Amino acid sequence: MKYILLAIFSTLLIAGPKATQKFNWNGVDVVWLEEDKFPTYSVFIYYSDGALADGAMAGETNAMFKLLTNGTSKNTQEQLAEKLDFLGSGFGANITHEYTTLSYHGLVKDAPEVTNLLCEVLTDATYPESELNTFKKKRISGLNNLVANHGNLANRMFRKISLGETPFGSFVSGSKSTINKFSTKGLIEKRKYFNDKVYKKIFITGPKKTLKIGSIFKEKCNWSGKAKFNRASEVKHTVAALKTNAKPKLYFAAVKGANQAQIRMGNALPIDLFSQNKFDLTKLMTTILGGSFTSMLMQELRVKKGLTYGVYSYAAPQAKYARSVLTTSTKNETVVDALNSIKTTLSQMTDAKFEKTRFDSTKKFLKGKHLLKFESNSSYISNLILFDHIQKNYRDLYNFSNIIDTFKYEDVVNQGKDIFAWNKQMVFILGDSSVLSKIKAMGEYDIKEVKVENFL
Amino acid sequence: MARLIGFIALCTLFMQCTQKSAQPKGNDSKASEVESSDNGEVLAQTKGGLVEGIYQIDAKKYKLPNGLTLILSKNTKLPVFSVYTFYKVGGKHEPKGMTGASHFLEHMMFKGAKKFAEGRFDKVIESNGGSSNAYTNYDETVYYESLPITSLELILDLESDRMQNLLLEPKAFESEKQVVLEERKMRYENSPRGQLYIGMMNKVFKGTPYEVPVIGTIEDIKSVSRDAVYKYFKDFYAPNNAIMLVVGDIDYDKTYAMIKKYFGPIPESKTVASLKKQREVGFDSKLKKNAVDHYQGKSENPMFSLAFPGVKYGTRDGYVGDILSSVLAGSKSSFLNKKYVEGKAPILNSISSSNYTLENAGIFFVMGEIGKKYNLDTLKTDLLSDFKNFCSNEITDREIQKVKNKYLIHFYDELQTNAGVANYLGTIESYLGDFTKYVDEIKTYQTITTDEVKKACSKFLLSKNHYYMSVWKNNSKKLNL
Repeated sequence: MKYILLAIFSTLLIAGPKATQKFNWNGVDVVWLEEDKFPTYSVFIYYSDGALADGAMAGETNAMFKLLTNGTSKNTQEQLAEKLDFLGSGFGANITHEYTTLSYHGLVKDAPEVTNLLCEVLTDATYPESELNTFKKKRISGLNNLVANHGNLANRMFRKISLGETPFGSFVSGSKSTINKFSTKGLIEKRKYFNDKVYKKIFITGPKKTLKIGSIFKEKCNWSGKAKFNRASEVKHTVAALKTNAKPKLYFAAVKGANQAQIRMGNALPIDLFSQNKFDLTKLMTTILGGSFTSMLMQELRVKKGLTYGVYSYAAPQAKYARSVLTTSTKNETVVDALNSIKTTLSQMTDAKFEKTRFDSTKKFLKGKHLLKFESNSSYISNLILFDHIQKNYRDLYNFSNIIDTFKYEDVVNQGKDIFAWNKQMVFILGDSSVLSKIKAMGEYDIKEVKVENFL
Repeated sequence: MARLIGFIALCTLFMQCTQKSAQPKGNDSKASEVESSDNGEVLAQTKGGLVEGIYQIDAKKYKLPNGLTLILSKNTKLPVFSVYTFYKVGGKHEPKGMTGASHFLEHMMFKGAKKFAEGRFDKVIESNGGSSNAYTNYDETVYYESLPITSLELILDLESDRMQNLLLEPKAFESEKQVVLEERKMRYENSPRGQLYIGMMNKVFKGTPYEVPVIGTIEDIKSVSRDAVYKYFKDFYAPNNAIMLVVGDIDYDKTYAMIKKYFGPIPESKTVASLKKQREVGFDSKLKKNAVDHYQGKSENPMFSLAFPGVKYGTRDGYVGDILSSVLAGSKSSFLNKKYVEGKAPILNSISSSNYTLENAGIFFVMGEIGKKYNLDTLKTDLLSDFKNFCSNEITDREIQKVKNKYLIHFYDELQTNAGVANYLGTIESYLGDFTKYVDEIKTYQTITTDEVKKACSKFLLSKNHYYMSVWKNNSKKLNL
């Protein structure tokens, strides 16, 4: 069946996204999304390991992938960059804690040449010391300059604070202290480990001609079904259920002269909050709360009170952990008002005081938005990769509308209680020191001050 | 919601823009022969599929009697559609004391009209499974929505309501000013890159309508009155100043009929033509020699831009400038990246270049971040010296082909979504007056020679009129914009 029948709304059955085809190349799993409208292709390679492979050397996997094209025994960085750019390959890697995605794209006629280059770097990247030293200097310089970007700095600090004691609190791209320790030898070992040991799956979009690259993976990358390591199955740590505190914990970081306060809220979450259909239930709950322009938080903080330009909330899992995040920023003068408004809004969610119409309309919003995910092949594939990683059946992706329809108002409220109850929140604020006295005067938080430099 | 300001500006700052500059209008466009329809005369069209080696988009152009330009494009891949509405009004049209009015109006367009009153606009869109947003730049303001096809008529009803009956409710009007002021902090005041951008545009376009940031000055945002913005709305938001695109799983005749039903009765603006005549003048950069400013900012590492007056859209030089920009710093293997960012002892953490072709003028600039101790003025001297070598020796046939390959892949990527097609065709129509010119644009890129790029290099980069600016925590001069 080339097209999957997909229910968008309960009254309407229409043709939906194209179905994928599955096969294997020399034991390596492959998913192909046939697309012959344009003479272009995309390849995404999923590795079932990520930053968790780094242990005390946080950021090493990231460095290994980012420096893949900085030299082999055959080609220098300059030669590789020139060849890959000429072919328009868009070669890049995305590393998360549990898995990694390597991707490239271009014109179909060039797919074999780019794939050959990919195999060359995966089997022979040498990480020349001069290139590695340059990389280290740039990364550390970039971290030093992060203090000028308060939004990104707050995101980085909040991740560490909220996931701190779990294995997932490490920085994927490393910290100043770990980056300095990277060595050529260590990166080569890591490359070999990912190429020889880690389970991989290849996702391809493009015309049938693209599949000619199959033999290259076997002959040049030496890939076979023998590489089976899966990080997630090895992780023993489990995130405990959230505790209710007398007062929410609030961490404050002072940045002199900041004219906006960055507010973050959320937690590390146990994975069972996302089991089976709760994956989509959480999406519904967080969208009602802060996932669209008509969401409760957006209406309260931006539309009604003009306190912020943007506010959003989400909660999402990997295979072994999940996290929730609520993000906004506001004037120093209005921090107290913003915190109170967030508290009120979260209470409306957990006390079942939001409108039933909001519940119904958000369901419709998500159904339509879901359909639009299939417009772009890369968006479609990204969803498949996540589903594979968390061992969710593709059927649920296509069956999203029906799943959403099964949720009741009370289900959303209960999920809200589990994830966004006010006294379960960990709060982080980054702003001018004058903000701290305002927060202390509220008397509502268990406050701890932290220093920016400890998070770089 | 990101009511994006300066979409094109962001585009030029963070990626290569390849679609907006163009060659002059002519009668040699290879658009397919036009056809008549009972539901409106098709003024121009391209038919889908490969024609002479170029992928063409299935699309048709119409015009309503009240001046509304309409472009429809059919794509049956999924039962969804995107609507883009381009209003030909942006930062350059704002009178004194009303800087930021176009962008502010963009925010207010989501706040309610006569039929779809306060808060209803977003509720209706989202509860029908869609999302919407908008962006404003110096030349235009663009609104867009993407939804399941079952909601097409509803969206046309919404768009026609706010084109003619915007409320500008006083309480929401004042509250939204605070939102825009927070957005201004986020995008510009607290962003070294944002500071560089508005400082550079201000200096290069001093004394022209492109001088002031599109988001407006803090004073004007705070003081602008509802009456003034309402008049601005009535002057510029009209069918004869708009281009509407509908792309997706549509039927051409039925969609045309729906648009005629909702937009046909809206009267044209009688004032827009004369106002544009008054305000669309005096765009040439008055930068007559090299200038330097070092401004205080939050950046730990010095950040800089080196800018040159460029060319407006609609010239072959504009296309050539795009390719020049990509050869100069558009990829890891580009000249400036190899020299300053990669290698054994790089001076910079990053560098990019952009050929920003606006409707009435242009600017060519490089922007970067220093990664180690290095004197800012020495860097400027180094760059200018290297440009001479670059123009003479580094622009090769292979470098040009590399850029052309990249543009072709980018073109196909753009066409993957309905929104991508609508924004692409709408931009071409808005800036060139004929969406089918995208075919000429692709051909022009294909035919640009190495010699042309070399000549453009000398013209753009060896000019004595340039502006060098830095933002760094150790600088003392204040930037007040």
